[in-house]
Amino acid sequence: MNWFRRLFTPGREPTPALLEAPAPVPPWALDLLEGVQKAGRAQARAMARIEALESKLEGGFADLRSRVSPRPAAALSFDEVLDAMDILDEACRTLEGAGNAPAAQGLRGVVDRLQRFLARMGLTRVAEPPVTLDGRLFRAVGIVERPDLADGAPAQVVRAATLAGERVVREGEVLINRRP
Amino acid sequence: MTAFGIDLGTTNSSISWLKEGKPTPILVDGHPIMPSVVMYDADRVVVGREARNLELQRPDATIRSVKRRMGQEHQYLAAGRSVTPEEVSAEILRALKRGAEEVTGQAVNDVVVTVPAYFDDAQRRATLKAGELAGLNVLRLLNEPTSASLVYDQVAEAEAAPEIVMIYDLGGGTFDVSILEVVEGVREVRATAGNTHLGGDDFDEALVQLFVEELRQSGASPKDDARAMARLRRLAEDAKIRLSSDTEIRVREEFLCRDDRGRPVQLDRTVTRRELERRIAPLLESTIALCRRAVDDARLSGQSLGRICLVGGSTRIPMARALLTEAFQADIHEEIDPDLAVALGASVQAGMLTGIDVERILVDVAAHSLGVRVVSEGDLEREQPDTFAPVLRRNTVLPATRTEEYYTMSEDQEEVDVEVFQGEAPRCSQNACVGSFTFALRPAPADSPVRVEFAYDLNGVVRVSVSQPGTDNAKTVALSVADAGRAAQGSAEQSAVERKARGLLSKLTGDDRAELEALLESYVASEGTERQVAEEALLDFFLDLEDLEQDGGEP
Repeated sequence: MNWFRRLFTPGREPTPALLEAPAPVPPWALDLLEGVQKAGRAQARAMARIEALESKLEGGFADLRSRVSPRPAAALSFDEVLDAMDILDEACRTLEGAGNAPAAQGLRGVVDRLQRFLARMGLTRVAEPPVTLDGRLFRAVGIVERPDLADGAPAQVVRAATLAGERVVREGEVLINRRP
Repeated sequence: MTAFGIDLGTTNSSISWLKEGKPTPILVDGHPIMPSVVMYDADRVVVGREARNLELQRPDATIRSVKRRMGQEHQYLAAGRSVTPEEVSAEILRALKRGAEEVTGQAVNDVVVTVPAYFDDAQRRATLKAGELAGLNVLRLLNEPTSASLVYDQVAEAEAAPEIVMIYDLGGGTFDVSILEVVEGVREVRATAGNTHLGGDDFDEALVQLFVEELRQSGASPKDDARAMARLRRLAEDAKIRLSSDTEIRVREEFLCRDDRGRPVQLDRTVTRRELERRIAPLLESTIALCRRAVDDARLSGQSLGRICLVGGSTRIPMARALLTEAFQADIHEEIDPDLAVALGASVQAGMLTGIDVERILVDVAAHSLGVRVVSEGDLEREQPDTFAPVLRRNTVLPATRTEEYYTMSEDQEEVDVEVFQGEAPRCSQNACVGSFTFALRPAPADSPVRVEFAYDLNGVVRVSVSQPGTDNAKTVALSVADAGRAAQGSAEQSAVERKARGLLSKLTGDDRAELEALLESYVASEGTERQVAEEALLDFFLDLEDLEQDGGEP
């Protein structure tokens, strides 16, 4: 019974019983068929490669020239890097909270290195809570209680904002202070 | 003269126009949709994304979901000001007008504004008043489902005969279903139903709960940690979106919170589409119940539902469509971006009212559903199963990739026959066979998952990938779907494989191009079995090329 079984949502049903199928095709026949098909395809591709080589030998150097021309760099996305930096910030805070300041300091050094790399790429990362909340740059996503801060002041950054020049390329997230 | 269409939504709003006769969304502040949120500051009014971002900080000054209050004698008190729902809506309309003028460089005066079909006279008059306050000339108020059906008619030729259309609109926070009768271009809303507090946010919440339960097992209490909850909400929304195309994803969030002993806790787990579906099934089933009620209320008396058009971002969840397919025997359409369908339809209506020719919307879609043969309860007593399980459904916008999971029949099942069919019939025997191959399985218990992925490109070539989750066992085969249909019709047009090969030639250089040229030449020159071999060689070439692209190389 070489079939897929469908699973019905939300629960699974018992496997339905099928009548016994007629005698199956012997495995060697399937192997033979697949082998013949593969050989045919391989032969077609080999012939194509030989013909391509022949055309090149006959003076088709244009292809060769275009082959060595530089390829455009793949478009890079910094999202993964920015996510990782947010988590490194979180790890620093956790380590500091656990009294492991040297490890936290080491990690901060790593974050600084990455930040310098981003700066060279024209990106500015805003990872510290701003004095006043700018809704174009940060979204308030939660509330904390910090008696040392003014009511409504940004208290912690959950996700750093990123700018390319004046343009916001990644909206940040902050927690704001709410006095009881 | 240019006219614009505005979807004035409960959660989000958007504006579109006819650009060279084509309905086109306008990016306001760089985004096609703008949150319907208004914040009154001491010396300015903030609307949209910025207002939404500041809402938690200034809840007393921020107003959202004003649409629910339209037509009521209500006064909002925001930052010491007293404002009516019409005035708040006018601020949203002003922001859309301003944004559209900046982008298009044209004055935005004449507009069509959409309203829910169930809006009464007072609510409609309030919407007109809001338009007036915003300095707009509202050409017409258009029912939202009518608007969506208008834009869908720009994709497919409308039926000449009377047709019954369902508009299933599942957005971020509301659900509406409408039954329309379309007779010679005239649309009448026959019935509506809905839930004003059901939508994508509820589905996100279901995943947040799943993550919270997981973290609790590690001794953490994330609900007491605002930072952790904010990260979980973002993670849940991202996971929900990914699970619309993948059947299983890995979610990972390091240093999420701390446990009861102060140690850092990470969230690292896989989430399956089934898990999400189990949690949101009651919510989605409630929408189907409302659809049935709307169909009953429409008193179709002998007429049957012709089409179902999907509107609202949450209709991207595969289960929503699957439940609709199961409940109603009607053609489901999802060719238009569901977030923008209503605004685009309003711009079509605006064009009609101002005498602008509206061009058809050209969208490449799958002409038939594509799926595999599976065993289901309907196959009891059969020698061979005959159930057709669609993986990629008809009218899906191409190119597209869809994944489904099926299960093995027996313990240590050695292999599985992957038989691909296209068609709409529930039985394989009534659909066209596209191709088949065998996939050898690693030993596993009965009911072990096997994943099937269909990647369908614009040239009618589908790449079928089968894999066994948790192992590196996988196999990919390219099949020419368009050719299967063409062969059945006996047409002598250029084949899909040939079209794809010719399209690729201009993008390739060097050895790759030479190889493709040779393969193409051999394909065109051959007949019968030789042509079949040449076609398979071409399909192998496409696969190799796609693998190379995925590995980061350039074609």
